[in-house]
Amino acid sequence: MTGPSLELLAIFLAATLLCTKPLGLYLAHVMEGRPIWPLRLGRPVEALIYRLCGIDPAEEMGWQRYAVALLVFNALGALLVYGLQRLQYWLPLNPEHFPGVAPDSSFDTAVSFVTNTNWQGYTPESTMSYLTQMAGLAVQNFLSAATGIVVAVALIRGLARHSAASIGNFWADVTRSTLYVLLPLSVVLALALASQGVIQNFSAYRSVTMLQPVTYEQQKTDAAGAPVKDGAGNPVMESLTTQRQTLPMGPIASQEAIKELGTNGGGFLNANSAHPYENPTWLSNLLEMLAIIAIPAALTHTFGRAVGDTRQGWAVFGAMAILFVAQYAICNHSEQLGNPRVAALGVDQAATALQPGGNMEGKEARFGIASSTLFATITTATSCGAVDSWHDSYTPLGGFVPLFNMMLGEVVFGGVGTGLYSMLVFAIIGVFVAGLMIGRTPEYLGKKIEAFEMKMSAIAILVMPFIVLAGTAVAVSTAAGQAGAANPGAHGFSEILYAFTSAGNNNGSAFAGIAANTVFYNTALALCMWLGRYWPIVAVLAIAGSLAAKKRIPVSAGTMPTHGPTFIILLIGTVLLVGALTFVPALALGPIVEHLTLWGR
Amino acid sequence: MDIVFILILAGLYAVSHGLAWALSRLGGEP
Repeated sequence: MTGPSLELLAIFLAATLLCTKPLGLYLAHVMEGRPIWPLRLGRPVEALIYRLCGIDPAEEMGWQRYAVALLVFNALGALLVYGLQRLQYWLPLNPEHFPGVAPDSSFDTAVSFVTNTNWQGYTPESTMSYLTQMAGLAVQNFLSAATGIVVAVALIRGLARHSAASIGNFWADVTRSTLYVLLPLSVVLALALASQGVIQNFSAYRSVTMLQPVTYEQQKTDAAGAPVKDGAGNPVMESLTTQRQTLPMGPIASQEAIKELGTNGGGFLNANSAHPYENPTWLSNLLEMLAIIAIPAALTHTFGRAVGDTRQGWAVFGAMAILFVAQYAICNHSEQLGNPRVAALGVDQAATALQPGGNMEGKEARFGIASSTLFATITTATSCGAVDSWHDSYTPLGGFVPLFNMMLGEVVFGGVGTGLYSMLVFAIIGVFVAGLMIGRTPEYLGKKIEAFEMKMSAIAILVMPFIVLAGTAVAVSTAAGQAGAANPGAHGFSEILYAFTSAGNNNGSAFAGIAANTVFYNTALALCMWLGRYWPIVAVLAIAGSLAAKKRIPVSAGTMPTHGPTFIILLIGTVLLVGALTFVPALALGPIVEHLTLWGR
Repeated sequence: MDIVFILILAGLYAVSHGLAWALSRLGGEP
């Protein structure tokens, strides 16, 4: 790693650490409804929402009621987003007069945004009206993030409560996390981003004449949008010349803020955070990276506070941080090494004061390798999926890191809520394995881990690998699936594997080479997104309900401490072993064979 | 086509609701 990369990592980790405790404490107060001043200030609005919706916030729910409320809420959200897209031509705030979105793309996008995936098979600036972006997609950015937070909070309550029949009220939890956490943070971040030059308007798009004609190459596609390939399976390129450019406009700053804070990742523009209208400066890039990780990191402290021992939260934070630094180091080092095929042509890839060196393909010059690889690590360690560089253009090992991050279940800070609850499931599996090794009944935070919790943990962990691997297998063995990959061989396989991994983990980032706006991919990926989101959530809520009902066992000489280095190592080992054992065969067919092909003699 | 995708969505909701029901039968409900 170069000096600037290490400096950036140090600044980023320090800033994350600074945010973790105060934000975690604030989240704990909000979720318990303590009368701190923001809650007193928002009380009339909160009360009005409850009155309009007929909600009694004090009414406690068992885990099954909580799960059904969550599922109904999300299914209705998906239906609304679907309808908005289909009807957008007849609705206001559509200055470009975009027609209704195709049914399969509407379905994919509706499921994508409701599940916090934000996979985008379409090009937003040439598809979605401002109303669809704001009332459909941005609203779900808030609500899907709130859904993740409340599941984590429900699991925390399960661990913190004892002999209880309930885990909270879903409607009150969603309202509070949206009203007091996501909304105010988004307003602050949107203003900060606007100060850096992120645009915010309702203007029609502007067509401008460039100073000189530009000739560029683009991949040729057929009438269905699938890439045209030659006999060897390589993409066919076409050369185009233009002197006109259309500049997209829109309310970007407001959507950009929640896109990062809610670990959503769906860009207002197709180029996402690589576009200067979404991410214009080095500072906006740093703010966006911090925004992605702030709530997931803070929730570890919320967890520690809720269970009455902040060291428990710091242990989880520590395990996440160690994995994070290792991931960044591998990704950054691989990109800094550059491409040996390019080096063989006599191109200087060394880092100097005048150039970042390494593999700059697919990266913004204003961010360089340090910021691009840090963003790529953050966006896939969490469930964000926003990008400021093209992961498809990374070296095989550099691209392996974002892919493997997702395959670990996005537990390295993870998505808002999803990261913590998934990591706590790994903690339950870890203490169970440790219990087997030392011959004692496994327990976590004074709760006995028994057969039911282990069955639910197994479901929560295994649903994702099953849908990712089965989805990839179906895609690579059917003509419709193969048609989407732009490259032949191992890289084409990596593109398909990445797409299903991204969907199954609700990440949303893509290896840019895949053309996924087809009926096959829109339908298959939507199914993966839904099942990858809600089946683990149902299992986690079942764990929460079961743990809440248990009595707390007092700490004894036989209790394994879960706040020290031994537990951190155990947790890291559990995460890595599950991820490696499940996905290494698939990875061997994609990025690993690509790496060996590139560097082998 | 709209009805097809709405039915798929309903099906996805149903299998998720069904999972919650099935898991509650496994003994997790206090």
